[in-house]
Amino acid sequence: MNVLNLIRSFILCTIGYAVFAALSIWLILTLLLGEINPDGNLVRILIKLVDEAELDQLGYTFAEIAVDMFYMIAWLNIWSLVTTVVFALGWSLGSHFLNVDAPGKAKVYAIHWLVVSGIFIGLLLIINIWILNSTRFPASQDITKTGTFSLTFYIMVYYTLAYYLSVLLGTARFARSSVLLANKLPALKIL
Amino acid sequence: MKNFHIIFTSLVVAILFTSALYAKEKCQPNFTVPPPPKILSDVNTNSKKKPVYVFFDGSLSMLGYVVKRPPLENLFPDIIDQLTSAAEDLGSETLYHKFGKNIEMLDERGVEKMSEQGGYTCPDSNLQCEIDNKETRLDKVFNAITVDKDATYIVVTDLFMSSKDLVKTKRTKLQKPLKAILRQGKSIGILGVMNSFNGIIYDIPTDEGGTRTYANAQKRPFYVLIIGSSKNVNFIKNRLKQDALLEKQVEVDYKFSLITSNVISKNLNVSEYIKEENLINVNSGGEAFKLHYTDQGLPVFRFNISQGLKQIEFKFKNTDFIVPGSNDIAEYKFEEKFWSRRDVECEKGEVWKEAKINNFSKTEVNGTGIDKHLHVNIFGVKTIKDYKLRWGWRYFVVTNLYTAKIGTASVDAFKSWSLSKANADTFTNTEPKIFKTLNLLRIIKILNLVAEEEFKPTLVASIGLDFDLKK
Repeated sequence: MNVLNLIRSFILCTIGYAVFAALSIWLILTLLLGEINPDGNLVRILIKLVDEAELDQLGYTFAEIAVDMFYMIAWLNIWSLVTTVVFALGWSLGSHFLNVDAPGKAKVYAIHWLVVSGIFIGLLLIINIWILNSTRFPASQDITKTGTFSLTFYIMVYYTLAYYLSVLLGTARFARSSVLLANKLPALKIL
Repeated sequence: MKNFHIIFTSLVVAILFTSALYAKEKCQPNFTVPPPPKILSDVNTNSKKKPVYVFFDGSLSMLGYVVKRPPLENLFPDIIDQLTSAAEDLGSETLYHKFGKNIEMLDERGVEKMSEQGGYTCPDSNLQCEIDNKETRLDKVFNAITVDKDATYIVVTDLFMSSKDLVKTKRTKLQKPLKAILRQGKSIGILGVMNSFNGIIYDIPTDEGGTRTYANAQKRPFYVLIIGSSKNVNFIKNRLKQDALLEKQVEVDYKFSLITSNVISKNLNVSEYIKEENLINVNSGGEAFKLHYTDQGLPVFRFNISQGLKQIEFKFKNTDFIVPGSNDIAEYKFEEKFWSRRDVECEKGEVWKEAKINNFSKTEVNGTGIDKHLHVNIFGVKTIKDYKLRWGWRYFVVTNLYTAKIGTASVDAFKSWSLSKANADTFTNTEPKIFKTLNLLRIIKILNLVAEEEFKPTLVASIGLDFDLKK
């Protein structure tokens, strides 16, 4: 076990998710602390998730429920980001400890990676479902079904990409082919 | 100086605490509740005795009711006796009349004769009497009953009216005084009694266009029309029922219907009549459950419900607010207001937001007779979930339930005793033992129509709901 390799993996993995995490943290801080322009793009995007006519029937406007909505989206991102970072680092560092001594190692490593990645995606999905249905977040009922689907889809894609890029960079050299799905992905050439 | 600070701080704390408590207690939107209709309260409180006028149909066709036909029991004389007794008890004074073509006043002997044959036959060579007892001018009686607005009127008749009496000016002559009566908030009770009959039925229309007589009927209904406040109508009806109809050894075939423009006997908010048990699908033992009446007399139910509850359902017994024996209500309507707020504890200074959702409640009537119930389903047009009510929010509903359309129960009640002009000849040819009343349904329909025209929506109940919706 080479500690330098571990540190190298840690740094590469962090570089992998850093860009995504930076964007995420900016969004989270804006939603929780920042002053949001009511005519800005962020509000415009969030309004699309909500059935304004439904709110209007109850005598409310988006502006009146916006704070709850910002709070919920922020927490959705916090949990997704934390999960992504934990799993990305977990795999990147953990892959150094894999020692599968058998023919066709890449395939065996791939099974491990697929299981971990599957758990990650499943967990991400559970986080989305929980937050978008939880009584802790009243804004969850203001989002339409299409809005819920879109939000879940984009969050999943965004954080799965962050995870993939970070594990692609951070995985131990001898196990990397598993991340590249047995050397079949084009990213092999750039690594 | 130190003491001053302590007192000042205590005062500020006390004021803040009291106002916070008051705000919590008074956590209601601004609304007004329509007052209960005046006419209902007048009817319920006016107990001073007023005169009673009794009119006996003296036409010759009534003779068959006083002539006995053994072994059938003759109820007519007994009912006349009980009727006069009840009328005397009800009124400050009782004035008796007999009508045919004209109306004449009766003295004590004249009243007594109305349960005997002599009341309907003419002494020899009395031409005036013979002309008089060949017609039944109910229109003249109806015209007379508008004179004293406070009185109660009782008409004993066979209601056998030819079709020509129910069209054009004669119909108008019938309708006009009835409208005036119903407009005053009065009611018309029709008590029909199937009685033994031993006489001739006149003026039965034939298919050829003329008229004929029939003498083989053994039974035939007669009618007591009672016109006055629904309270007085029911007084006379109940007395006749108890003393003359239910006491008989044999089962008496009788029908009763009350035609009124206002079939609501009581506004349910009066005397705080709406109780916890009327709200049937919310647990009144729940922690948050509370019922209180506001200064405006509105019962406000405070409770928690879950989003899974489809509607909020109230149940009221029809006999508690509908005049017994009346036409009933065919349709109800709602006037509703609905507010919501996210701050359920009323602590954040948020205001109640009036929702734009309307017409969300509906009524359903279940059961028959005295078991008939009105179900008021708030949010019953769809379901609470379909209205997209948010969980975690607090809601306030004020619903005013009005009558919208009068029913037709009286038509259904008397249907089997009615004979149409078109069927009269054929029916008579069958030599019936029980003879029906010509154009009875037409007469009742005229009365119903008048009641419908004079009908005004009446406030039955106002209910307030203050609830937190849980997921």
